[in-house]
Amino acid sequence: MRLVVITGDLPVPSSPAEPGYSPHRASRRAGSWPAGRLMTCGLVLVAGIMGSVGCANDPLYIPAPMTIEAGVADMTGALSQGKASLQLPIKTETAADMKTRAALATKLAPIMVPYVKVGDLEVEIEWTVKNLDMKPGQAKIELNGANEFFSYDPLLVKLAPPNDPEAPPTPGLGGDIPIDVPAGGEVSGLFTEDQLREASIDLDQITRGNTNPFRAELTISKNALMFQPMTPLMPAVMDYVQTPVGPPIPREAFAQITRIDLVFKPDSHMVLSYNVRVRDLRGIMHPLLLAAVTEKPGELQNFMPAMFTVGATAAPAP
Amino acid sequence: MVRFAVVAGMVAALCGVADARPASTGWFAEGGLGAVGFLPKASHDAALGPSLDLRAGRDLFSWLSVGITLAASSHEATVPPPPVGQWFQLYRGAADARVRARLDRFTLFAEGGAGAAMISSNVLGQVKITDPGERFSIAFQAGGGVEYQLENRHYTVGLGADGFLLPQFAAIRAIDSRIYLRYTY
Repeated sequence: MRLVVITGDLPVPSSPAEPGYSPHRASRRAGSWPAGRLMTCGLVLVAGIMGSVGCANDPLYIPAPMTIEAGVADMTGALSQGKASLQLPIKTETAADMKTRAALATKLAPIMVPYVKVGDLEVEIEWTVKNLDMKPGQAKIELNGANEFFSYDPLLVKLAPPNDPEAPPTPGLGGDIPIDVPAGGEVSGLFTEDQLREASIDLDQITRGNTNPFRAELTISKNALMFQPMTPLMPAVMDYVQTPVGPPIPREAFAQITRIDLVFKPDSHMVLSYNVRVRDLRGIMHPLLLAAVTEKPGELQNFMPAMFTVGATAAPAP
Repeated sequence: MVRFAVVAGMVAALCGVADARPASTGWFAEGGLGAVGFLPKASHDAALGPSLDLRAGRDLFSWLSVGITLAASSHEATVPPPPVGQWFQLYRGAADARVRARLDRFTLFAEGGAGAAMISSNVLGQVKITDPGERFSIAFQAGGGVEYQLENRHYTVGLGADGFLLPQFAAIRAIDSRIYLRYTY
């Protein structure tokens, strides 16, 4: 079998005196690119694509410092729940970033502009639940968290009127869906980037906007361009109606979740392990990730969010 | 005896006309596709993945060439969950030398070089292949292969395999095998 490549500089008759001369072929050859130049351009193009792909927002993986074990009955017979919290290792704000943020804050005044905004980071949480029991069970993983202004714990948000035993519990920012785990088996899943973006906006709506947490969780806001802050929720006041306060907060001032809180609620003895995957679109994550907490703590931004409770209104200075 | 002499003469005559196929020498460029597979212990944590290889250089002699190579490969991280179904990319660049022996239209070669490698993420950090903040490693590579010279003197197709070592990434070792097309100017 013969393998022949017919591009390149095969001898082509270029004068009428040579056998096989064709004016059409001669003119096409004169105007065509040599195969070598095409090969070079192709290689340069592919190398360029390889280089640019290599620099595109590659994910960072932050393994949880420890696993969460729960589902063991205590002295009263109640099953234990596990809680974990992971602060994203974000670098201190640079002078240039601070200047840009101050300019935006001046433009949007009196709205406060966060250092870490929605869209700066794309966060995903990957988890694996392992059932240590010899019978099938169920587990729930509730997602909560904090941005640089407020932290949110649904246990501290009492929306129901006092002495109402039938009132549903305040929802978290995501998850809390029963997951079937086979006996001795394990199940993996994730909170997607979309869910974390939704949770970030819900958190901002609940805390700075005083949106009812039920409303925030049941409406899709991940593509919202703004939200209107309202007067504080007052569940103890009968027939109370919230009214708008101040200008709407635009998307460019939406605060991103910077701390992830998980509540693990299994109905039998199980272990939750998780890690956080971050696509750092703005380049604000510390390259050492959690190792920076011990090796270079001075390079990490310290956020001190206020605990959100119903009735809180003003955001603290970041 | 006469019959043997005739046969020997015919064989010698045939060998005489079977000259090596014409081949260009000088600047060249290569592009190839293949696969990279890790050797134990890293093979437990990273799956076989497709690769793209580029090489450009110059033939100093008909038997020796020097060049630079760029390679990229993509792999699924098979670390203990979580994470599940995550991929990473490995980029390598090196300067190398290739020694060739021509056998008519076939060429056998051996090559070796050194350079650097970059990994796209820290997903292998949990199995201690990369340390916190570590993205780059020195790379050493060596291997060989065979080339086939096409009728057009500029073109060669080849099959090659290189083993490479990345000392900073827990000294992981891998094999990069590829099929490629070479153009010599």
